[in-house]
Amino acid sequence: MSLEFERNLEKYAEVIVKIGLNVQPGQRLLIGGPTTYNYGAPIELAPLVRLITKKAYQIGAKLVEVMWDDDQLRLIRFQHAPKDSFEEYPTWRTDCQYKFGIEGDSVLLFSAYNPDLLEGYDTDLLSTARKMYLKYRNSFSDLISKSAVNWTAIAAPVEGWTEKVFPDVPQKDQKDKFWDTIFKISRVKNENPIAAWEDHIKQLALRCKYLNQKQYDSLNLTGPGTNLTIGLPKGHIWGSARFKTQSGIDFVGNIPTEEVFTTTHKEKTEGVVTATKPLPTEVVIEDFSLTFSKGQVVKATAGKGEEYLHKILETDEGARRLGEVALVPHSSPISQSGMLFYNVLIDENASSHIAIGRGFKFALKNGANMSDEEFSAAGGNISKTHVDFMIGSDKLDVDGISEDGKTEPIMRNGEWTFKV
Amino acid sequence: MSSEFEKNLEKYAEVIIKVALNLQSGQKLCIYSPFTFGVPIELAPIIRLITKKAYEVGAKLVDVMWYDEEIYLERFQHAPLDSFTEFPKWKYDYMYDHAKEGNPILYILADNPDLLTGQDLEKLKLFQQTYFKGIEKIVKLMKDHPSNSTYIACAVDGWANKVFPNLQLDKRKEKLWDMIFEMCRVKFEEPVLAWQNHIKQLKERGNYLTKKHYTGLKYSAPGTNLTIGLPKDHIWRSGTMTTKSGIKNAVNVPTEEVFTTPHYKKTEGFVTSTRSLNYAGSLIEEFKIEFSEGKIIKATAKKGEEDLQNLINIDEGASYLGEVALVPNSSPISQLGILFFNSLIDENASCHIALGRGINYSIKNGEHMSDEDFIAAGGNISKVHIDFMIGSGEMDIYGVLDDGTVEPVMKNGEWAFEV
Repeated sequence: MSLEFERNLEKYAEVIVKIGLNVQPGQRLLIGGPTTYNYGAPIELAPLVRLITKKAYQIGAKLVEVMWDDDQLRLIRFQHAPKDSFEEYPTWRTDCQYKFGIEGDSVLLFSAYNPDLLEGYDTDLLSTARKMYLKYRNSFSDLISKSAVNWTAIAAPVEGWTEKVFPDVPQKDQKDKFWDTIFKISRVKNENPIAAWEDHIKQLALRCKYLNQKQYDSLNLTGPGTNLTIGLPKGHIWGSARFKTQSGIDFVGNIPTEEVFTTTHKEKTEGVVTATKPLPTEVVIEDFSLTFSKGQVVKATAGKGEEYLHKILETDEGARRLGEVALVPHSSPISQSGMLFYNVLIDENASSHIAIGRGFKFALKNGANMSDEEFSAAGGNISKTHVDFMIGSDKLDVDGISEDGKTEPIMRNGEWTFKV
Repeated sequence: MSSEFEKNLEKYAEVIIKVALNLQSGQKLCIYSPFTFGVPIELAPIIRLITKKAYEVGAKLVDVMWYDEEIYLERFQHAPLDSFTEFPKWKYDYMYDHAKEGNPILYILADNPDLLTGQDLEKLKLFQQTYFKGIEKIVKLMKDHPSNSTYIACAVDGWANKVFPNLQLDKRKEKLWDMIFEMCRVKFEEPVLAWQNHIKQLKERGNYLTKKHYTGLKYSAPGTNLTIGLPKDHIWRSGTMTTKSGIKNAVNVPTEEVFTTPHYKKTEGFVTSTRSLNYAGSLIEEFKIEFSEGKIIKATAKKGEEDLQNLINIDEGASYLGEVALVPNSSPISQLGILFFNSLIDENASCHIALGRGINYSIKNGEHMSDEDFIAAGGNISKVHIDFMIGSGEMDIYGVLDDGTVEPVMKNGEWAFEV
């Protein structure tokens, strides 16, 4: 590897530890909690994980624990394990993650997986494995929703994924090319990445401030195949890159991040929405539309993966309702790359998106300390799952509708209409 | 890597699943390495083979707790002292429940013996205290052999560098793997069959010794003149055990030993080690221990004497014996003539004894005894169990009969009786 690469990798680790996690002296850090697609930190990312570990100790972390994952073992399971064994889950992984969260420690998550790893395997088994993960991970998801943890999710190239994203690049160059893209979209290539992030975070915060003052009653989204009204709960709070834990630690939950988002009213979505990018779950879902009535999905069709889309919607009652709406201008750097990454963390920051499933307690006034029942009564959505899908394009218009029925433009042709 | 290596690795995985674990359909398997809190990530190729074979015999779940050497060292170099009171309880709680429900743990021993050489002694001491306290509960559970758990060895760079410092850098790990295949009977045409024959031999030697009801063993060798008393109704065991649910497995691979638990108050004389002791990161070399009424009254070492003293003082039981094991000098490992710095392997090259925890199931009905009853029967209780090697081609061992007469058990390091 080149010196240039080494330098960028180190700068990336710095952005992760200082901007993303903002690890505090005396804190513990878990690298690689389980996510939907990773059981932990991919073992092939050891060079990056080692740099992150080093930076965290330099800041004064008390303990850095790494939970590793080898995706080949997951593949071997789907290839060879008995079909009736998929309700088994290695619960020490979710227990560990919860323990770090509840004790006020920091958690780094990976969104670094081969989207085609399990392609073609029995969708019933995939769906069972997903349900088990969601079941055991639920308590940690609630901590995140309450903003109790300084956590960050990051992406990094792994085998299988690089081929998928750069099929036209010679194989030997695919990984370098991917890393270079990650460095670019994560602002690592700036002379001073930390300062570049501070500027970016400030810009996004000003957009939130504008929208928070407006307190729109609902949003209206129109574009090809989309005519959707999304109700917003009273006291909703627009958030962006930087959040504060309940204990007062600033952190950035996603790297990269371009979105401005809030939590939706679970009973007030009406109309139809068509996705503008595939949904990279265990089974890739393409060309799909959802129709809502009184907040609930009443119709779901897909050109590809429709059966699996239905399985996701059947996860629980909340999986049929919206939990998030996020706005991203079409001119964002990721969007301008014109690439599809088949990875939610990156793709969602290329495009305006909405999510079915769990809403964010912290995105509601006084919401962080609410019980599920209280949050639900205030219009928030409760679910074990949270699945983002992309609906933005250069043809998307977004309007804000005030309580008195007045309509104002927010986005035209995918771009912000207001200055900050 | 050559196709020969691939073939041997596959056969080794087969021995691990069929002989070491004797894994049953419907069981869950957890793969782990003690001390380092996980399996080195460089072992991914063999772990994948083992995982595949485990699912093929019907395992419900295989999960691996991994480890990376550099990150482990980073902690010793840069973490504050109070970091070393931290213990990964979530791993041990999971393994405890897992084993208690009858599921096996595959322990992989692949330590770099020099890993912690030169690290802050205060951190090391605190680390060891935390470690031993943390594992207490599972150690207690595992002595009853609740599941078909087993210990095996795998080659990693750091360990291979220690064993073969004079080989070319890129040949060392390959060489260590080759040695492991050799000593684990992997190179036989049918390794699983070879293991079944070997295990039967060991079992018969154990039965012979048990029927003799020796009151003690007398050891004589250069630097050693030792008598070890044996409890009434002791049982000689070998490398296989049977779980409560009836699964028989080889608890160590490789295994060459026939062993029992000594009477903790009846050891007299002195003994000199014949190989270095590598324990929880410390290396102790050329040491001599003197016993009176079972207890260590003097311990000296050419190197690592302070570490030896620390081990002996971990608790009261650490200064008494908890195991006596017989291994012929002609065992395959001994014949390789290499010091492996790994007690799983080195103890099978040589007769050995252990400080600390005795072996309950080596006394009749011992597995059902409380600690108090076990002590009353002559068994030793401790948090630790530390094997060290005392055998050589110059060692003679005699069995002491009830009437005080003696008969040879080993001569010049070899068995002195036929089975």
